[in-house]
Formats: sequence, structure tokens, C-alpha cells
Amino acid sequence: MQNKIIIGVFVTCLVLSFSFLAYSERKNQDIEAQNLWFLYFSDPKNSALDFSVENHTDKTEFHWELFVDKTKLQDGNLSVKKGETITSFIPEISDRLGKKISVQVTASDNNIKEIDKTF
Amino acid sequence: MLDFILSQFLFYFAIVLVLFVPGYALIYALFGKKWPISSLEAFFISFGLSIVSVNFIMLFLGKINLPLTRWSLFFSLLLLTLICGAIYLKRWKKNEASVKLKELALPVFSRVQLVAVILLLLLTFFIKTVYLKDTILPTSTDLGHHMYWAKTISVSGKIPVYAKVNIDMESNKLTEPQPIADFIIGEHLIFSAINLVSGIDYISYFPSLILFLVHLMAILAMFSLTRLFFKDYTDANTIAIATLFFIGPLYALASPQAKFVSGGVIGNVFGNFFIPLCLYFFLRALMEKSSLMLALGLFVSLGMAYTHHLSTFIFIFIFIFSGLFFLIFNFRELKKYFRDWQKILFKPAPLVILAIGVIFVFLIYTPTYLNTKAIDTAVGAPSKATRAGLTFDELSDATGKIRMALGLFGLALLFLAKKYKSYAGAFLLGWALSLVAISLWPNLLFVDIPSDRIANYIVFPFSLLSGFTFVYFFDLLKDSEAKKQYLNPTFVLTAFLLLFTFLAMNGLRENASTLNTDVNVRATLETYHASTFLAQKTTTQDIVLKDHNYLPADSWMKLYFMRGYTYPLSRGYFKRYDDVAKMREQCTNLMISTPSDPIAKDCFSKTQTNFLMLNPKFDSMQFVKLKNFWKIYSADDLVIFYKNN
Repeated sequence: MQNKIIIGVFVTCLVLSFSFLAYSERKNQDIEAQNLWFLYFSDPKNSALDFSVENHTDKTEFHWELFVDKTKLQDGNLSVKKGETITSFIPEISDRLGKKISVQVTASDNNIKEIDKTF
Repeated sequence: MLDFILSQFLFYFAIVLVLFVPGYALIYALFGKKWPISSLEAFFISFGLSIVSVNFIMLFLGKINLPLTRWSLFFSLLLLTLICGAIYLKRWKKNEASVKLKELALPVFSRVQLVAVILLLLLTFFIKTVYLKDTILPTSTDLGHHMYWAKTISVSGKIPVYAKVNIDMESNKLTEPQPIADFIIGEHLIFSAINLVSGIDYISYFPSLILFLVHLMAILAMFSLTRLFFKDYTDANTIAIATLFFIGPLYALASPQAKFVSGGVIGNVFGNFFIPLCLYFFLRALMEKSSLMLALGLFVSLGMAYTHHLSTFIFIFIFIFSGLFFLIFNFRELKKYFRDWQKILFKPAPLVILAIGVIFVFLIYTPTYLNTKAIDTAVGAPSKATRAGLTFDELSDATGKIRMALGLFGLALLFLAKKYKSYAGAFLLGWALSLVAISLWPNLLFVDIPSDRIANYIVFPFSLLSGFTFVYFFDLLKDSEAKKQYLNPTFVLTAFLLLFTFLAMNGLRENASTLNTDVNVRATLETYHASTFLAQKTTTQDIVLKDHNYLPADSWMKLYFMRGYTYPLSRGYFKRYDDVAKMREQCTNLMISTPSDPIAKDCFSKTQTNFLMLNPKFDSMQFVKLKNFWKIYSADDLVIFYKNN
């Protein structure tokens, strides 16, 4: 009986501990809770400049600017809800040979991310 | 939330099915209705037997080319259970006493003792859980490496071939896959089995929790083993409780305890469970002249050999030392003992297990470390400073100074208690002193293994000896027959409380110093996200290089790609590139640190590396001005560059 009590306590603690740890891990893995957003080219390997903003923050407004070398060519705003990914389609840019084309995206909290391709 | 509840249900179902059912089935088949073990012993024994059985079943399925899937595993376990059930029923019908062994007559716990055990267990769980809460997110490098192989088994349905692609130092080209001796199949099969049955993703809580379970079972095994060691002693339960105190809540986090769980040191965690379990079986086999217990000991030893080479190596030393101590202290009665040993060894059960072992090693699956190169690496004169032995101070630090002092005192007390002549005494002396000897003087024993890794094993026997010292010392101060103290009882009580407080403070302070873990959850999730992104956007033609120095959880990236153990390529710790004792390729360092360097350019060209995953705070500037590197992905702590020509 004593051994069964010890096993009972052990198993109860085990289940409680494991469930708590599993829940903590799930919570940690929840990207929505970590205030993160990402910027990337939709097709990284070819010359297309379409880019995506993947938002996991509460801020939904983003401003983007397209630079050819250091000259701003285009800009615009994006509204990306939490958990969504929005892709902006950029038309082909003529006379881009030897130039660095960069996309700079600013979140409403002034967090800036930049990606680029040089041709 | 429903998903979480379902995954939890499947997780516990998998644990029961994989880690308890086969073991309990074997216990029923072997022992019939009347077990010679208590329910507590059956609990951790079934766990150990299950691990070994599942390993062998999976190896056998792999050998006969039956894919390792959820259903093949499920039906194999069902078949094993049915066979064991049939044996049990046959015996039950015949009312046959399956074994002549009886349950050991261990003293029952008093109410106070039972409460103490429960409180210590609660405290143990609490402290370890609090620590693991911050490390449960999969980030550990070792665990990531191991889980790649476990996932390979799940994905391919086959036993993996341990091999990796390297970068050739001379040509800078990627080599053909070359064998790796560092990984052992038993470190991975159980995780695959749990994944196959439950379907839970590898990049989750489950690998750490399985390791945690093994660790907790090791503590239970130690508790029971202590009772067995001191079974003839009236205070066996108190010693076991004191041992639980030293191994449970005190020093609960430092290596090789919860820290090894969070660090994914699979082999050591399993080894620290298997060693006490093997000792338990061998001790009972010798004490009770039981060939069945010997067979179980051999079975578990075989399982350990398929799980961790270092633990097996250490266990062989423990066994040799224990044997020597027993022979020395029982020199006059050796003939009698040899006859006893012959009687239990040359019986069907142990011989069958030995035959199974030989068949498995030679015909089914030979452990990767059983090759001349690996054996040469471990045996011989120490080849590096880190293998030349620890100083006594370093060994004390690894053990915990108080535990070391009490343990050494305990060794002396074993002689005072006249315990050294028994099997239990010989095993205790052999266990503790073999580890001290290998840690301090490896050159004398021709051991060429990092000394600090060996020292990690010393914690368990010294906790046991500390528990013994703590109880026996105060026992010496009283006259048991007259039930009175030799010294003033108030003085004894004060001394006891002072020592107890000192020990508790020391052990708990050690816990507090280990508690500060710094896991960057945001950066880890960025690593996961970037890995998912690249796994989708690249093909097997693309070669990715990532940095190990500044990216967390980077060893888990390979689980997103599943394109080889060294995919993505990795820039290791900087000191590795300057190690004069072992020259290494420089490409992975140069391609990130100085990408415009001619050698780096050659490396890019020869290895075909075209994607780099880096921390922008440390490794971004060198790529900004290079026109052929595009920054194609940006997060706060991780960027990806694409080399476009």
C-alpha cells in the first residue's frame, strides 16, 4: 500500500509537472505572443521584387519605401492584421543593372526592416 | 486549446504504451502472479525493460525491412504483450510458481517516513519543474542534433545510417557522407517511438519531457537501490530517504541532473538510469542466487550498450572494481562463491540473454561505436589535457563539496559498519571508487575520455553514500538496545539540525545559482520562422550555411530541412577553428567572417553555398557592400543572405 501511495504521488506530480511544462512550451511557441514581424522577398532567388510582410504584432500599419541605390522610387502603406501576411507586387524596374534595389518597411513603432537585391 | 488537450492525451497514451506496457508485460510473464519485487520497484523496472524491449523490437523490424511506422510499432508491441499474456495465463492455469524468489523483506515505512518521502518528491518535482519551465522550448544544441536522427527514423521508417557530409580541408569540396561513431541508436529509437505513436512534433516539449521522465525514474531507482543496499540495516528506509534528499531537491539542477535534461545530454541521462537499474538486478542476482535476476541485469546492460557507450564503459569499470573488492574481502571463501556464480550463470535464462546479445550485435545491428577507431579513441593514454584527469578540487566541485566530503566519510563508515564484505558493500565501494579513480587518474587505467564527463557519474553513488553517512553517523551516537543517546540528546538534536540546515542551504544555493537560464524566446522563434521560410524556398540543390555562435536553437534548423545531418552547414565556435590539436576546415568560418577573401570565394564556389542565416547584430556589415549577396529576409535578430552568382 505504501509503495502504491508513493507511485500515486509520483504519477500525480508527473502529470501536473508535464502538463504545466507542455503548456508553457506551447505558450512560448505562440508567435502571436512575441510581438514579431518579418519582411522577405516572396521569391528570393529570381529578380522579382515582390515582398511580403508577415505580421504577428498588434500594430497593423506599415509604411514601405522602394529605393534604387539611395533614391526613393516608390512608397506606400500596408495594413496587415495580426497573423496575416500581405504581399506587395512591385512592377519590373527598368535600367536597374548594377543598382541596389532595396525595400524598407517601417512599422508604426518605427521598427525598420530592410531587404535588398543588387542587379 | 482542444489541440493541446488532444496532443497531451496522445502524449500520455504514447508514454504508457511505449514506456510501461512492454515492461509490465514482461514482468507478468517472468514472475507470474507473485512478484518478487514491490509495486514501486515494478514501476521503474517496467520502464527500463520497456526501453530496452522497444529498442530491440525496432532494431529487429529495421533488420527485416519492415517500415517503422505507427502501426508496425503498435502491432509489434501488441504482439509482445499478447505473447507475455499467453505465458502468464499458461502459468496461472497450471498454478505454477514462476520463480522461487520472494519479495525482499524490506522494512515498512513509518507514517513520518512516508510523509517525508512524499514531501521530498513534491519538492523535487517543484524545483526541477520551475527550472525546466524556462528551458522547455527546444533550443539545446545536443538535443537538436539527436532529434534530427530520431526524426530521420520517423520520416524514413528505417534505422538510420549515421553518416555526415564534411568539407574537405584540402579541396574545400563537400565530401561523400562519412560514418559518425558519436551517435548510438538507443539514444534515438525511444523518441521515434513516442513520435510515431503520438504524432507530436519533434520541435516541441516532448523530447525534453521524455528525458525528464528518464531522470525522474533514475531518482526512483536510486531510492529503491539504496533500500536494497542497506536492507539488513534497521535504518534502511531512513538512509533511502536521506539519499532521496541528496539526489532529489538538493543539487537538483546542476549536472548531471535537470541541467542534463534541458541540455539534451541523452546518453548520460539514460546511463544514469540504467546503471542503478543494472546494479539493482545484479545485486539481487548475487544476494538471492537468482539466474532470472541475472538475466534481467544482462538484458538491461545490453540495452545500455545500445544506448550509451560511455555509460557502458563506466559500468564495466564499476563491475570490475566491485568484483575486485569482493574478491579481496572474501578471499578465503572464493571457492564457495565461484560455485554460486557458476550456478546462476549457467542457467537457461542468462544464457538465452547472452545468446540474444551476440545475435543482435553480430547479425541484427552492431552499435556504431564498436569499431577499432572509436575504441582506440576511448582506450589508451590520455590524448588531451582535458582527458588527463581532474584535480581533487575539480572533482569535489563536480560532485558538490559537501556531498563529496560526506561520501568519502561514508566510504570509511562502510568499513566501520562491517558492510564491505557483502555484495552490497562491494558494489558500493566499486561504484564510488572506480569513478573516483577514473576521474583522478585515468592514465593508470588507460582511459582516454574527457575527465569531466566521467565525473558527472560520481554524483549518484556519492549521494547514496552521503545519505548513509548522514543517518549512520547519528546512529553511532545512540545505543539502539538501551534506546538512549551516548551524548546529551539536546546536543545531538542541535548538531543534527545544524548539519541539516547547512546541507540544505548548500544544496539549495547550488540550485539557485543554476536557475538563471537565459533563453531568448523571440530570437528562437525567429530561428524557427526563418528555417521554415528557407525550407519552403530552397531545394536540395541549394546549400545553406548558418551561424552557431549568435543564433539560438540553430541545431534544430536541420529538422526543418531534413536534408542531412550537416545541412545546413554551420559556422562552429570560433575557438574550434584555431585548435592546433585538431585541424578543421576553415570554409564555414571564412564564408561568414570574410566573404570577399579569395579562400572564402573558393569555398563558396566549391561547396555551392548560396544561402546564409546570420545574426545582423554581429554578421551583416561584411555583406552589405557585396553586390552578389542579397538580403532576402529580415527579422530583428536574424537575416538571410542569398548569394546570386
